Amino acid sequence: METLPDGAPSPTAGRYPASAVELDRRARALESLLVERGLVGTDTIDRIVEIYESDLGPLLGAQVIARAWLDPAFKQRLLTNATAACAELGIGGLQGESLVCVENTASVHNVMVCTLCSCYPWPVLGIPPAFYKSQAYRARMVVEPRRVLEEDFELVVPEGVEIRVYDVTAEERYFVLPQRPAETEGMTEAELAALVTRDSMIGVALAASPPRSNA
Amino acid sequence: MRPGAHDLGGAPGYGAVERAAGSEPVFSEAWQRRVFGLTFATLAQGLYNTDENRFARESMDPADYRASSYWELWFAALETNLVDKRIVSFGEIDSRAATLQSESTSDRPDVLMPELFDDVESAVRGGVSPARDVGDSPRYGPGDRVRALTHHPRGHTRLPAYAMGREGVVTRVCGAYVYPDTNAHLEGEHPHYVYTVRFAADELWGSRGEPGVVVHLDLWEPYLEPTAPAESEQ
Repeated sequence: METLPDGAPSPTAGRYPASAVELDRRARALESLLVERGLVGTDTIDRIVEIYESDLGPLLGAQVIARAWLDPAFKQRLLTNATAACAELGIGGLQGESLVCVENTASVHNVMVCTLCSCYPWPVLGIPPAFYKSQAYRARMVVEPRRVLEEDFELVVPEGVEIRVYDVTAEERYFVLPQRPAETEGMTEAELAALVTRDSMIGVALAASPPRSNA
Repeated sequence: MRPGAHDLGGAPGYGAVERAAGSEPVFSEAWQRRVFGLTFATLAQGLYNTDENRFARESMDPADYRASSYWELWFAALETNLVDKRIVSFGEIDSRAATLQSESTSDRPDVLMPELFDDVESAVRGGVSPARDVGDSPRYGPGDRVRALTHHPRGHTRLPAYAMGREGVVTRVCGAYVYPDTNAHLEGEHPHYVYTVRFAADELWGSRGEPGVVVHLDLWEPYLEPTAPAESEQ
Protein backbone atom coordinates (compact mmCIF):
# COMPACT_ATOMS: atom_id res chain seq x y z
CA MET A 1 0.00 0.00 0.00
CA GLU A 2 1.03 3.59 -0.47
CA THR A 3 2.28 5.84 2.30
CA LEU A 4 -0.36 8.05 3.86
CA PRO A 5 -0.31 11.81 3.35
CA ASP A 6 0.31 13.98 6.41
CA GLY A 7 -2.95 14.79 8.14
CA ALA A 8 -4.84 11.92 6.52
CA PRO A 9 -6.79 9.84 9.02
CA SER A 10 -5.78 6.23 9.54
CA PRO A 11 -7.79 3.86 7.31
CA THR A 12 -9.14 2.11 10.40
CA ALA A 13 -9.80 5.23 12.50
CA GLY A 14 -12.70 4.62 14.89
CA ARG A 15 -12.79 0.83 14.34
CA TYR A 16 -10.33 -0.29 17.06
CA PRO A 17 -10.32 -1.21 19.81
CA ALA A 18 -13.76 -2.83 19.62
CA SER A 19 -15.91 -5.07 21.80
CA ALA A 20 -15.58 -8.84 21.50
CA VAL A 21 -19.15 -9.03 20.16
CA GLU A 22 -18.42 -6.47 17.46
CA LEU A 23 -15.14 -8.13 16.51
CA ASP A 24 -16.85 -11.50 16.28
CA ARG A 25 -19.59 -10.15 13.99
CA ARG A 26 -17.10 -8.30 11.83
CA ALA A 27 -14.85 -11.35 11.48
CA ARG A 28 -17.78 -13.55 10.43
CA ALA A 29 -18.91 -10.84 8.00
CA LEU A 30 -15.47 -10.58 6.41
CA GLU A 31 -15.15 -14.33 6.20
CA SER A 32 -18.52 -14.71 4.46
CA LEU A 33 -17.68 -11.95 1.95
CA LEU A 34 -14.33 -13.54 1.07
CA VAL A 35 -15.86 -17.02 0.80
CA GLU A 36 -18.58 -15.66 -1.53
CA ARG A 37 -15.92 -14.09 -3.71
CA GLY A 38 -14.11 -17.39 -4.00
CA LEU A 39 -11.02 -16.07 -2.23
CA VAL A 40 -10.95 -18.46 0.71
CA GLY A 41 -12.47 -21.80 1.62
CA THR A 42 -13.67 -22.60 5.10
CA ASP A 43 -11.47 -25.70 4.96
CA THR A 44 -8.39 -23.52 4.51
CA ILE A 45 -9.17 -21.32 7.47
CA ASP A 46 -9.88 -24.31 9.72
CA ARG A 47 -6.69 -26.07 8.66
CA ILE A 48 -4.49 -23.04 9.27
CA VAL A 49 -5.92 -22.65 12.74
CA GLU A 50 -5.55 -26.35 13.46
CA ILE A 51 -1.87 -26.34 12.47
CA TYR A 52 -1.02 -23.50 14.80
CA GLU A 53 -3.25 -24.68 17.65
CA SER A 54 -2.21 -28.32 17.57
CA ASP A 55 0.75 -29.17 15.36
CA LEU A 56 3.29 -26.45 16.11
CA GLY A 57 4.56 -25.32 19.48
CA PRO A 58 7.50 -25.27 21.87
CA LEU A 59 7.60 -29.07 22.13
CA LEU A 60 9.35 -29.00 18.76
CA GLY A 61 11.98 -26.54 19.95
CA ALA A 62 12.47 -28.63 23.10
CA GLN A 63 13.38 -31.65 20.95
CA VAL A 64 16.03 -29.58 19.18
CA ILE A 65 17.55 -28.38 22.44
CA ALA A 66 17.56 -31.83 24.05
CA ARG A 67 19.30 -33.25 20.97
CA ALA A 68 21.91 -30.49 21.17
CA TRP A 69 22.57 -31.25 24.84
CA LEU A 70 23.19 -34.90 24.03
CA ASP A 71 24.97 -34.70 20.70
CA PRO A 72 27.92 -32.27 20.46
CA ALA A 73 28.14 -32.61 16.67
CA PHE A 74 24.45 -31.73 16.32
CA LYS A 75 24.93 -28.79 18.68
CA GLN A 76 27.76 -27.52 16.51
CA ARG A 77 25.57 -27.75 13.40
CA LEU A 78 22.73 -26.04 15.25
CA LEU A 79 24.90 -23.09 16.25
CA THR A 80 26.40 -22.84 12.76
CA ASN A 81 23.22 -23.25 10.71
CA ALA A 82 20.07 -23.67 12.76
CA THR A 83 17.81 -23.84 9.70
CA ALA A 84 19.63 -26.93 8.40
CA ALA A 85 19.98 -28.53 11.83
CA CYS A 86 16.25 -28.13 12.57
CA ALA A 87 15.43 -29.53 9.12
CA GLU A 88 17.26 -32.73 10.14
CA LEU A 89 14.47 -33.17 12.70
CA GLY A 90 11.76 -32.21 10.20
CA ILE A 91 11.33 -28.78 11.78
CA GLY A 92 11.03 -25.68 9.64
CA GLY A 93 8.69 -23.60 7.53
CA LEU A 94 6.94 -20.28 7.63
CA GLN A 95 8.61 -17.70 9.90
CA GLY A 96 11.53 -20.09 10.31
CA GLU A 97 13.08 -19.84 6.85
CA SER A 98 16.29 -18.47 8.39
CA LEU A 99 16.74 -19.72 11.93
CA VAL A 100 19.53 -18.76 14.32
CA CYS A 101 20.18 -20.48 17.64
CA VAL A 102 22.21 -18.56 20.22
CA GLU A 103 23.87 -20.34 23.12
CA ASN A 104 23.67 -19.37 26.77
CA THR A 105 26.97 -19.92 28.58
CA ALA A 106 28.50 -19.19 31.97
CA SER A 107 29.30 -15.68 30.70
CA VAL A 108 26.44 -14.80 28.29
CA HIS A 109 22.67 -14.86 28.76
CA ASN A 110 20.64 -14.31 25.58
CA VAL A 111 17.06 -13.07 25.48
CA MET A 112 14.89 -12.11 22.55
CA VAL A 113 12.27 -9.50 21.83
CA CYS A 114 10.82 -7.83 18.73
CA THR A 115 10.33 -4.15 19.46
CA LEU A 116 8.53 -3.41 16.16
CA CYS A 117 5.94 -6.19 16.15
CA SER A 118 6.29 -9.71 17.59
CA CYS A 119 8.60 -11.65 15.24
CA TYR A 120 9.12 -15.16 16.56
CA PRO A 121 10.35 -18.53 15.21
CA TRP A 122 6.94 -20.14 14.61
CA PRO A 123 8.09 -23.60 13.43
CA VAL A 124 10.24 -24.01 16.55
CA LEU A 125 8.14 -22.33 19.24
CA GLY A 126 4.64 -21.83 17.77
CA ILE A 127 2.68 -18.60 18.15
CA PRO A 128 4.23 -16.28 20.75
CA PRO A 129 2.81 -16.07 24.27
CA ALA A 130 0.88 -13.00 25.42
CA PHE A 131 3.78 -11.51 27.38
CA TYR A 132 6.04 -11.58 24.30
CA LYS A 133 3.40 -9.71 22.30
CA SER A 134 2.73 -7.20 25.07
CA GLN A 135 3.69 -3.59 24.57
CA ALA A 136 5.38 -3.48 27.99
CA TYR A 137 7.76 -6.31 27.06
CA ARG A 138 8.50 -4.77 23.66
CA ALA A 139 9.18 -1.36 25.22
CA ARG A 140 11.24 -2.45 28.20
CA MET A 141 13.29 -5.51 27.27
CA VAL A 142 15.82 -3.59 25.17
CA VAL A 143 16.45 -0.92 27.80
CA GLU A 144 16.21 -2.65 31.18
CA PRO A 145 16.48 -6.39 30.64
CA ARG A 146 18.07 -7.07 34.04
CA ARG A 147 15.21 -5.41 35.82
CA VAL A 148 12.50 -6.99 33.68
CA LEU A 149 14.01 -10.47 34.06
CA GLU A 150 14.37 -10.04 37.80
CA GLU A 151 11.08 -8.32 38.62
CA ASP A 152 8.73 -9.85 36.09
CA PHE A 153 10.31 -13.25 35.42
CA GLU A 154 12.07 -13.96 38.76
CA LEU A 155 15.32 -14.57 36.88
CA VAL A 156 18.41 -12.99 38.40
CA VAL A 157 21.26 -12.90 35.92
CA PRO A 158 24.53 -12.61 37.89
CA GLU A 159 26.37 -9.29 37.55
CA GLY A 160 29.34 -10.74 35.69
CA VAL A 161 27.14 -12.36 33.04
CA GLU A 162 26.53 -10.30 29.91
CA ILE A 163 22.89 -9.97 28.91
CA ARG A 164 22.64 -10.04 25.14
CA VAL A 165 19.26 -8.82 23.96
CA TYR A 166 18.38 -9.87 20.44
CA ASP A 167 15.90 -7.38 18.99
CA VAL A 168 14.71 -9.60 16.16
CA THR A 169 13.16 -7.08 13.80
CA ALA A 170 14.61 -8.34 10.49
CA GLU A 171 14.21 -11.70 8.76
CA GLU A 172 16.27 -14.10 10.84
CA ARG A 173 14.36 -15.82 13.61
CA TYR A 174 16.25 -16.52 16.82
CA PHE A 175 15.85 -18.92 19.70
CA VAL A 176 18.01 -19.62 22.71
CA LEU A 177 19.96 -22.76 23.55
CA PRO A 178 19.67 -22.72 27.34
CA GLN A 179 22.36 -24.21 29.55
CA ARG A 180 21.84 -27.85 30.41
CA PRO A 181 20.71 -28.09 34.03
CA ALA A 182 22.89 -29.81 36.62
CA GLU A 183 22.21 -33.39 37.67
CA THR A 184 20.84 -34.46 34.31
CA GLU A 185 23.57 -36.98 33.47
CA GLY A 186 22.15 -40.17 32.03
CA MET A 187 18.77 -38.68 31.20
CA THR A 188 17.18 -39.62 27.89
CA GLU A 189 16.42 -37.16 25.13
CA ALA A 190 12.72 -37.22 26.00
CA GLU A 191 13.44 -36.65 29.69
CA LEU A 192 15.71 -33.73 28.84
CA ALA A 193 13.17 -32.25 26.40
CA ALA A 194 10.65 -32.10 29.24
CA LEU A 195 12.98 -29.65 31.02
CA VAL A 196 13.14 -27.28 28.05
CA THR A 197 10.39 -24.74 28.51
CA ARG A 198 9.16 -22.22 25.99
CA ASP A 199 10.40 -19.43 28.23
CA SER A 200 13.91 -20.90 28.40
CA MET A 201 14.10 -20.76 24.59
CA ILE A 202 12.99 -17.11 24.63
CA GLY A 203 15.57 -16.40 27.31
CA VAL A 204 13.27 -15.24 30.12
CA ALA A 205 13.91 -18.41 32.14
CA LEU A 206 16.48 -21.14 32.62
CA ALA A 207 15.73 -24.72 31.66
CA ALA A 208 13.87 -26.49 34.46
CA SER A 209 15.67 -28.60 37.05
CA PRO A 210 15.09 -32.33 36.92
CA PRO A 211 12.45 -33.71 39.28
CA ARG A 212 13.98 -34.89 42.56
CA SER A 213 13.75 -38.58 43.09
CA ASN A 214 13.18 -39.76 46.66
CA ALA A 215 15.13 -42.94 46.14
CA MET B 1 -0.54 10.83 9.50
CA ARG B 2 2.77 9.13 10.16
CA PRO B 3 3.30 5.65 11.48
CA GLY B 4 5.04 5.33 14.80
CA ALA B 5 3.15 3.82 17.71
CA HIS B 6 4.53 0.39 16.86
CA ASP B 7 8.17 1.44 17.38
CA LEU B 8 8.21 0.65 21.07
CA GLY B 9 11.85 -0.08 21.97
CA GLY B 10 12.70 2.05 25.00
CA ALA B 11 9.31 3.81 25.07
CA PRO B 12 8.79 5.19 28.60
CA GLY B 13 5.71 4.74 30.71
CA TYR B 14 5.22 0.98 30.59
CA GLY B 15 4.96 -1.01 33.80
CA ALA B 16 5.25 -4.66 34.72
CA VAL B 17 5.15 -7.29 32.01
CA GLU B 18 2.08 -9.39 32.70
CA ARG B 19 2.38 -13.12 32.38
CA ALA B 20 -0.41 -15.64 32.03
CA ALA B 21 -0.70 -18.04 34.92
CA GLY B 22 -0.13 -21.53 33.58
CA SER B 23 -0.66 -22.48 29.98
CA GLU B 24 -2.48 -20.11 27.70
CA PRO B 25 -4.48 -20.92 24.57
CA VAL B 26 -3.12 -19.84 21.17
CA PHE B 27 -6.49 -18.22 20.46
CA SER B 28 -9.02 -17.38 23.13
CA GLU B 29 -11.93 -16.34 20.90
CA ALA B 30 -13.42 -17.49 17.62
CA TRP B 31 -12.86 -14.14 15.89
CA GLN B 32 -9.12 -14.43 16.54
CA ARG B 33 -9.04 -17.79 14.73
CA ARG B 34 -10.90 -16.30 11.78
CA VAL B 35 -8.59 -13.28 11.60
CA PHE B 36 -5.50 -15.49 11.73
CA GLY B 37 -6.84 -17.89 9.09
CA LEU B 38 -8.05 -15.12 6.77
CA THR B 39 -4.76 -13.23 7.03
CA PHE B 40 -2.83 -16.37 6.28
CA ALA B 41 -5.03 -17.37 3.35
CA THR B 42 -5.00 -13.93 1.73
CA LEU B 43 -1.23 -13.51 2.21
CA ALA B 44 -0.60 -17.01 0.80
CA GLN B 45 -2.43 -16.05 -2.40
CA GLY B 46 -0.21 -13.02 -2.81
CA LEU B 47 -3.08 -10.53 -2.52
CA TYR B 48 -0.55 -8.40 -0.58
CA ASN B 49 2.87 -9.05 0.92
CA THR B 50 4.19 -9.39 4.47
CA ASP B 51 5.81 -5.96 4.45
CA GLU B 52 2.54 -4.37 3.35
CA ASN B 53 0.87 -6.28 6.14
CA ARG B 54 3.29 -4.86 8.70
CA PHE B 55 2.88 -1.36 7.32
CA ALA B 56 -0.91 -1.70 7.47
CA ARG B 57 -0.63 -2.40 11.20
CA GLU B 58 1.64 0.61 11.60
CA SER B 59 -0.92 2.78 9.78
CA MET B 60 -3.32 2.53 12.68
CA ASP B 61 -4.02 5.69 14.58
CA PRO B 62 -1.32 5.72 17.31
CA ALA B 63 -3.85 5.93 20.14
CA ASP B 64 -5.86 3.05 18.66
CA TYR B 65 -2.69 1.00 18.23
CA ARG B 66 -1.73 1.41 21.87
CA ALA B 67 -5.23 0.56 23.05
CA SER B 68 -5.67 -2.52 20.86
CA SER B 69 -4.90 -6.15 21.55
CA TYR B 70 -2.45 -8.15 19.44
CA TRP B 71 -5.15 -9.86 17.39
CA GLU B 72 -6.97 -6.54 16.91
CA LEU B 73 -3.78 -5.25 15.28
CA TRP B 74 -3.93 -8.24 12.94
CA PHE B 75 -7.60 -7.59 12.20
CA ALA B 76 -6.94 -3.91 11.47
CA ALA B 77 -4.15 -4.84 9.04
CA LEU B 78 -6.33 -7.46 7.35
CA GLU B 79 -9.16 -4.98 6.79
CA THR B 80 -6.77 -2.24 5.71
CA ASN B 81 -5.11 -4.42 3.08
CA LEU B 82 -8.31 -5.89 1.67
CA VAL B 83 -9.87 -2.43 1.45
CA ASP B 84 -6.69 -1.00 -0.07
CA LYS B 85 -6.75 -3.71 -2.74
CA ARG B 86 -10.46 -3.00 -3.36
CA ILE B 87 -11.43 -6.56 -2.50
CA VAL B 88 -13.96 -5.38 0.08
CA SER B 89 -15.00 -2.04 1.54
CA PHE B 90 -15.50 -1.10 5.17
CA GLY B 91 -19.15 -0.39 4.25
CA GLU B 92 -19.65 -3.94 2.99
CA ILE B 93 -18.07 -5.44 6.08
CA ASP B 94 -20.18 -3.33 8.39
CA SER B 95 -23.47 -3.88 6.55
CA ARG B 96 -22.88 -7.61 6.48
CA ALA B 97 -21.95 -7.56 10.16
CA ALA B 98 -25.18 -5.74 10.99
CA THR B 99 -27.21 -8.61 9.52
CA LEU B 100 -25.52 -11.21 11.75
CA GLN B 101 -26.76 -12.37 15.12
CA SER B 102 -24.55 -11.45 18.02
CA GLU B 103 -23.85 -15.14 18.59
CA SER B 104 -23.14 -17.57 15.81
CA THR B 105 -26.24 -19.79 15.93
CA SER B 106 -25.56 -22.33 13.22
CA ASP B 107 -22.51 -23.90 11.71
CA ARG B 108 -21.35 -22.11 8.63
CA PRO B 109 -21.63 -24.10 5.41
CA ASP B 110 -18.44 -25.79 4.29
CA VAL B 111 -16.85 -24.28 1.22
CA LEU B 112 -13.85 -26.28 0.05
CA MET B 113 -10.99 -24.89 -1.98
CA PRO B 114 -8.53 -27.78 -2.32
CA GLU B 115 -5.93 -25.86 -4.34
CA LEU B 116 -5.70 -23.02 -1.85
CA PHE B 117 -5.63 -25.57 0.94
CA ASP B 118 -2.56 -27.17 -0.65
CA ASP B 119 -0.88 -23.81 -1.27
CA VAL B 120 -1.31 -22.87 2.36
CA GLU B 121 -0.01 -26.23 3.60
CA SER B 122 3.08 -25.89 1.47
CA ALA B 123 3.65 -22.29 2.64
CA VAL B 124 3.45 -23.41 6.27
CA ARG B 125 5.71 -26.42 5.79
CA GLY B 126 8.16 -25.00 3.27
CA GLY B 127 8.17 -21.35 4.25
CA VAL B 128 8.26 -18.31 2.02
CA SER B 129 11.79 -17.03 2.25
CA PRO B 130 12.59 -13.34 1.79
CA ALA B 131 16.29 -14.26 1.29
CA ARG B 132 17.64 -13.32 -2.13
CA ASP B 133 20.90 -13.75 -3.99
CA VAL B 134 22.58 -10.45 -4.73
CA GLY B 135 25.52 -10.21 -7.07
CA ASP B 136 27.87 -8.06 -5.03
CA SER B 137 29.68 -8.95 -1.83
CA PRO B 138 28.75 -7.48 1.54
CA ARG B 139 30.06 -3.98 2.23
CA TYR B 140 30.73 -4.70 5.91
CA GLY B 141 32.22 -7.61 7.77
CA PRO B 142 32.55 -8.70 11.40
CA GLY B 143 34.45 -6.12 13.45
CA ASP B 144 33.52 -3.14 11.28
CA ARG B 145 32.23 -0.13 13.17
CA VAL B 146 29.03 1.31 11.77
CA ARG B 147 26.45 3.92 12.65
CA ALA B 148 22.71 3.55 12.09
CA LEU B 149 21.42 6.45 10.05
CA THR B 150 18.81 8.88 11.21
CA HIS B 151 16.14 7.60 8.91
CA HIS B 152 12.50 8.57 9.26
CA PRO B 153 10.80 7.56 6.02
CA ARG B 154 7.15 8.42 5.52
CA GLY B 155 6.46 4.75 5.01
CA HIS B 156 7.63 1.44 6.37
CA THR B 157 11.05 0.76 7.85
CA ARG B 158 12.60 -1.89 10.09
CA LEU B 159 15.14 0.45 11.64
CA PRO B 160 13.99 1.06 15.23
CA ALA B 161 14.19 4.72 16.28
CA TYR B 162 16.27 3.95 19.37
CA ALA B 163 19.21 2.80 17.20
CA MET B 164 19.24 5.85 14.91
CA GLY B 165 22.49 7.78 15.12
CA ARG B 166 24.04 5.11 17.37
CA GLU B 167 27.32 3.38 16.73
CA GLY B 168 27.95 -0.33 16.99
CA VAL B 169 30.07 -3.19 15.72
CA VAL B 170 29.09 -5.70 13.06
CA THR B 171 29.16 -9.22 14.50
CA ARG B 172 27.75 -11.23 11.61
CA VAL B 173 26.65 -10.98 7.98
CA CYS B 174 23.16 -12.50 7.88
CA GLY B 175 22.65 -12.76 4.13
CA ALA B 176 20.69 -10.64 1.70
CA TYR B 177 16.97 -10.05 2.12
CA VAL B 178 14.14 -8.21 0.42
CA TYR B 179 14.23 -4.56 1.51
CA PRO B 180 11.07 -3.85 3.52
CA ASP B 181 11.23 -0.09 2.99
CA THR B 182 10.48 -0.48 -0.71
CA ASN B 183 8.64 -3.81 -0.75
CA ALA B 184 5.96 -2.52 1.63
CA HIS B 185 5.02 0.10 -0.95
CA LEU B 186 5.31 -2.10 -4.05
CA GLU B 187 8.42 -0.22 -5.13
CA GLY B 188 10.37 -3.42 -5.72
CA GLU B 189 12.26 -5.95 -3.62
CA HIS B 190 15.70 -4.28 -3.89
CA PRO B 191 17.43 -6.90 -1.72
CA HIS B 192 20.37 -5.83 0.43
CA TYR B 193 22.65 -7.52 2.91
CA VAL B 194 21.54 -7.56 6.52
CA TYR B 195 24.07 -7.36 9.37
CA THR B 196 23.86 -8.14 13.04
CA VAL B 197 25.15 -5.05 14.84
CA ARG B 198 26.10 -5.07 18.50
CA PHE B 199 25.29 -1.89 20.45
CA ALA B 200 26.45 -1.22 24.00
CA ALA B 201 23.66 -0.25 26.41
CA ASP B 202 25.25 3.11 27.33
CA GLU B 203 25.58 4.01 23.63
CA LEU B 204 21.84 3.45 23.20
CA TRP B 205 20.46 4.64 26.50
CA GLY B 206 23.10 6.76 28.25
CA SER B 207 22.83 6.55 32.01
CA ARG B 208 19.51 4.68 31.70
CA GLY B 209 21.40 1.68 30.29
CA GLU B 210 22.11 -1.24 32.59
CA PRO B 211 25.64 -2.56 33.19
CA GLY B 212 26.73 -5.62 31.26
CA VAL B 213 24.00 -5.34 28.62
CA VAL B 214 24.33 -5.29 24.84
CA VAL B 215 21.65 -5.20 22.16
CA HIS B 216 22.06 -7.13 18.92
CA LEU B 217 20.00 -5.78 16.07
CA ASP B 218 19.80 -7.02 12.47
CA LEU B 219 19.96 -4.05 10.09
CA TRP B 220 19.75 -3.70 6.32
CA GLU B 221 22.81 -2.19 4.64
CA PRO B 222 21.08 1.08 3.62
CA TYR B 223 20.38 1.76 7.31
CA LEU B 224 24.12 1.91 8.03
CA GLU B 225 27.13 4.09 7.36
CA PRO B 226 30.75 3.30 8.22
CA THR B 227 32.28 5.21 11.13
CA ALA B 228 35.79 4.02 10.28
CA PRO B 229 37.03 2.77 6.92
CA ALA B 230 35.85 -0.76 6.32
CA GLU B 231 38.72 -3.25 6.51
CA SER B 232 38.44 -4.01 2.82
CA GLU B 233 39.00 -0.33 2.03
CA GLN B 234 42.03 0.15 4.28
